[in-house]
Amino acid sequence: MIKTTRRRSQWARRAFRLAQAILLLCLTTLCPCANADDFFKTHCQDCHNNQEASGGLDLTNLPRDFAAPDQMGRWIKIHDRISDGEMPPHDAGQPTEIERAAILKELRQSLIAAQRAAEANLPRLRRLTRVEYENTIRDLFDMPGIALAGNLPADGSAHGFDKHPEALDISHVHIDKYLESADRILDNAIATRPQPPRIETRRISLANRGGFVAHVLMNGDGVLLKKGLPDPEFPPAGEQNHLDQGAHERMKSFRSGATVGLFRHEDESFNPYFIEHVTIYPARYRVRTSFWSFQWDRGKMLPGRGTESARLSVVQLTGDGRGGQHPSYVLGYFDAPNTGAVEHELYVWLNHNEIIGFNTASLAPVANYARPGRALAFSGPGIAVDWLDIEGPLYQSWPPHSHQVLFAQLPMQEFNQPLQPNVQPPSRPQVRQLGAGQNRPDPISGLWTVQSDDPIADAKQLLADFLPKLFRRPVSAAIQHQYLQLVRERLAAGDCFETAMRAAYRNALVAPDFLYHVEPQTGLDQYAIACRLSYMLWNSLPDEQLTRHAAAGTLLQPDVLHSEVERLLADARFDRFLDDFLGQWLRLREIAATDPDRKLYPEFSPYLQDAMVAETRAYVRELLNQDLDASHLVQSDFVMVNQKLATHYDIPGVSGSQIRRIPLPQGCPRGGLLTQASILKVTANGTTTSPVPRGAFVMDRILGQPPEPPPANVAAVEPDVRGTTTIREQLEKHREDAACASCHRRIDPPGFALESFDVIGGFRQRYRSIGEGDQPSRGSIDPFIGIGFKLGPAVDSSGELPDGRPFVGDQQYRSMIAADTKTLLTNLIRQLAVYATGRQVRFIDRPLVDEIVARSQARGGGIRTALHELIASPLFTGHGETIVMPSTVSVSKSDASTPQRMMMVATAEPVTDPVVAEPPDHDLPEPPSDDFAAAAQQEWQVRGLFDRRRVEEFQQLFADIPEAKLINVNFATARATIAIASESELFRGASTDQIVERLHNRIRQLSEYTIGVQLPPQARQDALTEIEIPIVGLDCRACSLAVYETLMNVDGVVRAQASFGNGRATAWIDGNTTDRSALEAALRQKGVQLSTSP
Amino acid sequence: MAPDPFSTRRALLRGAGVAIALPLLDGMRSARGGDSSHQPPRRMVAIETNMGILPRYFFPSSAGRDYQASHYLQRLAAQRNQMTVFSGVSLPGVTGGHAAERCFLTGTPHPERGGFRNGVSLDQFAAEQIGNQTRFPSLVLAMTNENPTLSFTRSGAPIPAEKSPRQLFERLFIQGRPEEIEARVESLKQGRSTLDFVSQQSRRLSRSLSAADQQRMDHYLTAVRDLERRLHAAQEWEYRPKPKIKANQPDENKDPRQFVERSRMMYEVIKLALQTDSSRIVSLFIDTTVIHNITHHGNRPEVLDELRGHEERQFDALGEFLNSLAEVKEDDQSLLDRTMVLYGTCMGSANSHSNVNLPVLLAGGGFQHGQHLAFDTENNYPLTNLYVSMLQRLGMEVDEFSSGKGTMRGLEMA
Repeated sequence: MIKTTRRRSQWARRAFRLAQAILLLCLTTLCPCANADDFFKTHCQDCHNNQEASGGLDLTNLPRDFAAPDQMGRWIKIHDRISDGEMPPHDAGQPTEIERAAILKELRQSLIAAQRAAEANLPRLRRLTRVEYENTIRDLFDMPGIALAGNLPADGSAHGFDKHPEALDISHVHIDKYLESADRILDNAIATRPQPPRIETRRISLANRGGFVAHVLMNGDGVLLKKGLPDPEFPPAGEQNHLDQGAHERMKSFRSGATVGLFRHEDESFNPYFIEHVTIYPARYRVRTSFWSFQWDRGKMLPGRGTESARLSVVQLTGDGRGGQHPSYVLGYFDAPNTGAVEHELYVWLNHNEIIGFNTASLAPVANYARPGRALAFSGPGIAVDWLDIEGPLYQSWPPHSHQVLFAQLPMQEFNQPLQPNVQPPSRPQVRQLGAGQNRPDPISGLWTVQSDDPIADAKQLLADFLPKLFRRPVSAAIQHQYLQLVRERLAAGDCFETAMRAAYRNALVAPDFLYHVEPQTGLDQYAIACRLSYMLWNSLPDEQLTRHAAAGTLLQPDVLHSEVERLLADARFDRFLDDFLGQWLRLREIAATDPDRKLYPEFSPYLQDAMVAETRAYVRELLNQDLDASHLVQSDFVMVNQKLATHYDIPGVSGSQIRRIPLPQGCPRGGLLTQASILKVTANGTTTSPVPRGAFVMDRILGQPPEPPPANVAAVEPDVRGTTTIREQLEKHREDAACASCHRRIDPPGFALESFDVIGGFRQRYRSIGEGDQPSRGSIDPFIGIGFKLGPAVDSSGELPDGRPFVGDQQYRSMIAADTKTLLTNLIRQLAVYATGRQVRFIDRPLVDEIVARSQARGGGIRTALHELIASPLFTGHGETIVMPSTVSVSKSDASTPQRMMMVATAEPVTDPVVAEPPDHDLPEPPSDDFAAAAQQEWQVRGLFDRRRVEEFQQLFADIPEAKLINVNFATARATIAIASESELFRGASTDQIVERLHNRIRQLSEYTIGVQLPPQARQDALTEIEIPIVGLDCRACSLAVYETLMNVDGVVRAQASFGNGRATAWIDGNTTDRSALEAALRQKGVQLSTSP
Repeated sequence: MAPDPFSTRRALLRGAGVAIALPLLDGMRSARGGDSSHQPPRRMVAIETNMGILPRYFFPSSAGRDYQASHYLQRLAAQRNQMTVFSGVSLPGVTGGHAAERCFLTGTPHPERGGFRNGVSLDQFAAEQIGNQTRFPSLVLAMTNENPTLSFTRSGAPIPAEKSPRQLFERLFIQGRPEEIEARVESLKQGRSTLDFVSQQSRRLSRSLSAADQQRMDHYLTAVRDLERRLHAAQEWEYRPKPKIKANQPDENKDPRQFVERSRMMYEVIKLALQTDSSRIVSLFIDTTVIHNITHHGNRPEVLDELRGHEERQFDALGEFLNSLAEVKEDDQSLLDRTMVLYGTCMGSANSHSNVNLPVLLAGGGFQHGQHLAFDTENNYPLTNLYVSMLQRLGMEVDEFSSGKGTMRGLEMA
């Protein structure tokens, strides 16, 4: 790989010098030539001789040996230079048209002959890319979200795509990872129980135990809301914050069913996640959630400024579930309207240890945390999250499809070791509750596994079904037998049926038949064509219907091929084509490679970045759906945007996160791919733009004329954002050098045209600067975002095409290249062909590409039509004849002006009728004893009765303690009289100490550790000193608990009361042990503000 | 940490390590002494402390070979010619204050952002290639009571670190129970049997392919054989007795305030591990969170003095470690000559949570040391280039790693 690149750049340098040399020396050449030798002698060798070897090319001595790829490439370049009239140079003597045609014909014939001869030596075999690998497993086993690709080494890239064999090397690291993956796949796929785990339905608040959200709510970055107003039990943090998160959790402040309203965007110290569901069982889950938006005005609720957008993501916890946030991906964006709550529903596949994450995506980064006045001093927008419901694990069938792929309908039975003493049972990992998850494992008793009465016959059948699916083609009996033999050996060695089969499956998952695209030496058969179709359009294996056509040999029948292509295009899996092809063709995979400078581009956000990618995907989908022609690659009268992008593009009247088709308003400088923020971002470096990489991108990716790489010894232009110079001025110097000018004349113009767009794709007339310049107006930047940049020099987006035609601005430039639909379409076909076949488009293939373009253009030139024509071409099918496709290409009737939810990944299909496990027989609890007759009544000291309202809560606890009866309770003395059933199971035979401990523990547990009981202290009550301390703070019961506990923890405090509602705390102390100042110090330490006025 | 129930089998296989070479052990001497055809191995120890190092006492005031040793560097004076000090280096894009601590060996940008995904760490990247030559492909260690680690897999998953010098000692030098060994061997055997099977499959498939494709299939076969050899070696290791050494097993010490003492214990076991060639790749995370408060010194002199005291003792411990490596002879060289020791921190100034101008030094391992390589403190040089140099020094053919696109300018191999 590295070598190839180096060679290529050397060649590029030579070619570059060759151009120069001919320009200078090849002046007087008039003699007509009979053949190539004469032509070169007359027109070229003045420069390209054995002394000059201009540009490293010596044409007197260049072997006409086309077999070596190096030489072939060199001769193709020579052909192309002569063909497009670049050589000999314009200001040198020109050959006649007849001469030119003759030399081109001769070269063409030699090249074609050579490539034909080399055909047999072209590699066809290529490994699955890691994305193909993951999709193949996901589809085959119906595990649509299993994460495998990330654990495999990254693939390379050749000829622009990872699908080329040269990009797909293999080493022992790969094999090791494939082994690891195989185990992971089988662990996930094989059912280990007779019934599915219990379906749990859980309503989760965003503010939950131990989470970040509860923490920031206590400090003013959000509020709890009830019935659209601040929760009276948890007032907004203002001058005071709430005390002690733990006290609030124990008092259930965040579990009162209140809505969470957040002002704060996710940042380095704030991750808002729904942590109370941590996935135990990898499966589909149904997620429902309810969002709305509001305007907060220092404690008042006002109607929101418009529809806000919330983001849901999937977050992988690591280790014990406390660490982590890794790796995660965005699910999508959801509306939070200001007109009332809306519910969103989606089905997602969640892996082990994954949780759902949230973000206030459309809000600006604002933090009230520790700011004076906190929420009560803040006015601004907020997003309200009512709840998130999560239901699952959900299975369409039991055992799940993944298991049936491996074991069909074989019954699950409990493994009975005594009956088969010599058989090893399968191993089962222990399933545990994870992290802060409130969802529980659903263990089963016994060890369950598939049972076979006739293992060899069953194994034979299972393998005969499975192997052809996995290998994507028929598998001979001899090969099946080898796998069967393996099962036989494992069974003989004492493995149970499941383990023995597993060994065979594991081997198949590492076998080359699975890991490689095997295209027969003799030419593509129907199975290979089915694979080309499915791996092109779905990036995955063929489904049953495609395989049926392949088996019947009907795939290349024109109507079948046509309708199959249409079917694949209409399938949800086609999203993967958009993701993978556009990710590489337009380099969208690199969207996050650079981070826009925060000072220069403060309005940039992850939401904007995701919207950029969503736009380009939706746009290309729309071109395909409507079968629009190739001029739309650079020009259109509509855009596919949501509110975020519309604001960015200065298009009014778009509300919400959904992407929809919007006609371009008059004068809006957008349209086509080149003005999409995604493209403008991947071609910039985050701080500055340069016409060079942008120009090179357009030449290479859009026009199909890749420029030569720059000579190694030229210094790059130093970016400068001080506002004193423009990139254009810097480049002018560069272009003064004739050697540079010859290439930059072609590279720079598209880049100059795009100078009107900044690094995040915003339209600009002046460069942003962090040095000199004028104060900018805010424009569409969110009012909560600070602006620290200035406006520097004006942008000049004029230029001229290599042929001399001038243009002013990108719109004029784009209409010039849009006119040449042939060039645009030819390039698109070539890019698609490399992606679909894993081979570069060779010299010999050029007529086929031309034919595809011509046929498409004859049928209107739409790119969906062109896609069909490519697939019908021998370039794709490997067959001699072009298949004449039915003339009608169906145009999608779906109306793209209907907003589409902005999903960043494919969601799982709904599980309409999940399998539900039969409820187990529960042992009935022992009936409670009500025998209090013999029980002694006793007086207890109650801890935790910090205000009057606590008495009722204390009384209610006894409903769940049948072994004890509350006779009476006195708030003033914090004493209660309790009778216990001494013959109940809880207290039978217990000593006094044990009784105290058991009752205390039961009450503590039931009260979330806020109330306890003990025997009354020895100190005489009347000897106690009463101390009253005025306090200020939020009228919040959890905060009062925090104060109460602080006092009670001071040595010498016997009893206390506290209420922010009354504005005072009272303690009864043993004056010999402690005093007022000790109490006050403890409270201050806790963060309690003491009132100065009593 | 709760084990991922879906990876335990493989973890077992990985944990077993892989190697062909016999352990280097003859009392306390190298077993390779007489065999001139075998160079003693090259090794790497990467150490990060997570609460910064006071820059004013670390960076020398002058650059080059005759630099004036700084306050801390004077404590390493014995190895001055065996180390290079860097200034003006950082990890491009790695920001976020404390969050950067998990990127010290990965160089993956922006750990502070939501949705961050880490990359493979330097040590694990190396272990994938050369880890097979020893019983343990790498040692992932941390001197902490929490869960941090310096080491991450390809998918960016953190590898839990061994935190107890005592238990590390046990893994290295105390023989396992027979049933544990059998379980590991069985797992390795199954891996090998799979590889044997798929080799046959590739040979069969190859027969139906064109000459060009046969060549590609050969690459697969080579990759399979390569792994097969590694698993074979791993299996051999399981039956081979662990090295016998004279040192005593260290005691448990979990007092976070004694982090220097605990580092010393860890250094001692690392030295033994290298000396016995039990592993050649080590990462060590030194958690100094206990001094977090005083790292926000706000330039108060009394706090600075206290912090300097802590850091001096850390450098003393590092100095003792380097000296002890220098004392162990291996053929005609010292263990330090063959062991790269990277020592640094993720914050240039803990006081301001800055992630630029990182204090970093590299000792030993076979470079032309003895200098202070000073880069631009305004526009930092990528530290990841040093990682490329280190990988090449280990004998790996790589041109880039993470954000490093070339070797460290000014640092030549000896």
